[in-house]
Amino acid sequence: MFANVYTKTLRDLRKGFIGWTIGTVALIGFVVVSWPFIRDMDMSFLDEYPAEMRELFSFDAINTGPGYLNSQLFTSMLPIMFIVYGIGAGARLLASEEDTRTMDVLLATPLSRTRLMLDKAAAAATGLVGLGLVVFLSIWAMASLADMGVSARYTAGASLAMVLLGLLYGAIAYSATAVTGKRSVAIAVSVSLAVAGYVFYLMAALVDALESWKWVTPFHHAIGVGPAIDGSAGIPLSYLWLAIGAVLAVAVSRPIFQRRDIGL
Amino acid sequence: MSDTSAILVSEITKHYGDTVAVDGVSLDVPRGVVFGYLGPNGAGKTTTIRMLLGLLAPTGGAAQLLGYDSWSEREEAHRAIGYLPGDFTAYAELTSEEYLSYLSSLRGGVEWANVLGLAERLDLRLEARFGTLSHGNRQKVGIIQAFMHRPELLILDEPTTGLDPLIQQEFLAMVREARADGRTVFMSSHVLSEVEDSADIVGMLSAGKLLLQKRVDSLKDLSVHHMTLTFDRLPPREILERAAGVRDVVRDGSRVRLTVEGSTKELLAVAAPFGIESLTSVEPDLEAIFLGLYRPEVV
Repeated sequence: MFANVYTKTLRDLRKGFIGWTIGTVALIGFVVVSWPFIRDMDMSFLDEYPAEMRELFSFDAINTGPGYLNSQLFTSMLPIMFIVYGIGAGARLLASEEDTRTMDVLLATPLSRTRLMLDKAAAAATGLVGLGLVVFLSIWAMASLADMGVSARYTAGASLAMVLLGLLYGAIAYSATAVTGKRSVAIAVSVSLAVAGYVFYLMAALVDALESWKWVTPFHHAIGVGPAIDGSAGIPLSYLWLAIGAVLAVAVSRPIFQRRDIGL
Repeated sequence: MSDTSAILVSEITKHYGDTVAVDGVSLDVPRGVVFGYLGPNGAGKTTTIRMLLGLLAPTGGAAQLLGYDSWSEREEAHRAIGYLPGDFTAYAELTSEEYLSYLSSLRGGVEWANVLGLAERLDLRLEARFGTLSHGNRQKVGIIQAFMHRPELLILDEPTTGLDPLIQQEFLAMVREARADGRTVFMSSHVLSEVEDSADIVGMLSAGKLLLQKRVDSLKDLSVHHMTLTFDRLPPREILERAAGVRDVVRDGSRVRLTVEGSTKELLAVAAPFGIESLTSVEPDLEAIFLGLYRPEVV
């Protein structure tokens, strides 16, 4: 039935994944359904907002399909959802098995700690990619039906940014459990970094003095450039930073997990 | 110290900050025996076992399982062992069958007939979800996953917890069969009666230190018998006290109460001429021996 840790972990993630899929599709549905009203609405009141803020949330383009999706989904709700999903899975996968001691039995087999760690990480990544696919397909289908003028390449690029944000902060949470074995630490660290990253992203956009530092925050690389900002097709190179960050977090924690005491 | 030992532990130590959980324990468990690792709760038995399993890194010393280093050659060692942790649990949402199948895959495939046979012996239905099982039935799942691949070495931490007496007996039969098969069983317990029945060798751990490692039958020679003899003719005290191991002689009418350390042969030989009408003896058990070891003056 479960050939290895990867397939077993996919099964573990299944219920949560279904819930998140339903929630995400519902959110997207709600946003798309509201589109005709926004499209025709007079949005000149948004001009009151400072220019930097209008740029951050695509307010100027809110009457366009991509601009609307950016402001409602890709620069706000979806990053939060993907990061919460990523951190939730990342903090739980190793730590729950260590807490309940089910990990002891797994490690008494020829399974290595490295293999255990990598298989579980791969399953969590699969879940995030899967959720990204759900976003892509729902938006593509619904936006076409609502005639929003949104290209598949735009949707794909923006969805990928969401997946990468989830992967990065999920990987940080996961690595924290690999190092400490504690879910609470993992959540505290990854949530703090995510909030700090987002706040800094906003600040760097609004405050001139911080403008040259905006590259520090992952949010700049995910949604500060590329489809979520200007609706352009194509995947910016800066996405790589997020992927590299995720891989690095896991790679650095692996030898620590290999060597530390398991359980207490 | 040969490489035919099933388990070879050399001065293994585990410190947690200032606390010493295991203090320089050395063990040599030959192949094909049942080894009972005894000690009260908190003595360090589980910590020792988790070091054997490569879950905890020893602070000092080392251990070998079937010739493999327990820390640096973990995965190789684990191919040939079966492990039952002290607080065994599995995944609530999986059935026992799914769980055992999962572990079987991780072990590269297990003869499923073994699993079915063990489940029948232990009276366990495999279709039920683990979360719905009683404590005793959960423990059965733990036993099956340890035994199902017929490992060369079984390491079992308090294996009979939660088992009803009938199943306990079945389990001990499984242990004896493993030994008959030439395989080795290392079992920890604080319930001495079951170890007494099945173990060949016992090691006694207290506060992290190994007090002794001895064959069970030689341990019983160290034992202390409390006897009450009723005589036809009361023998003089000096004659009884001259017999080897006799002490604390108390005469009471035609009865004599005394204590014999070790063999009662000599006492019976000197007492017989006086006509032993009846005799009662509190038989030594490991518990008495074990508790005796906490008092420095015994042994």
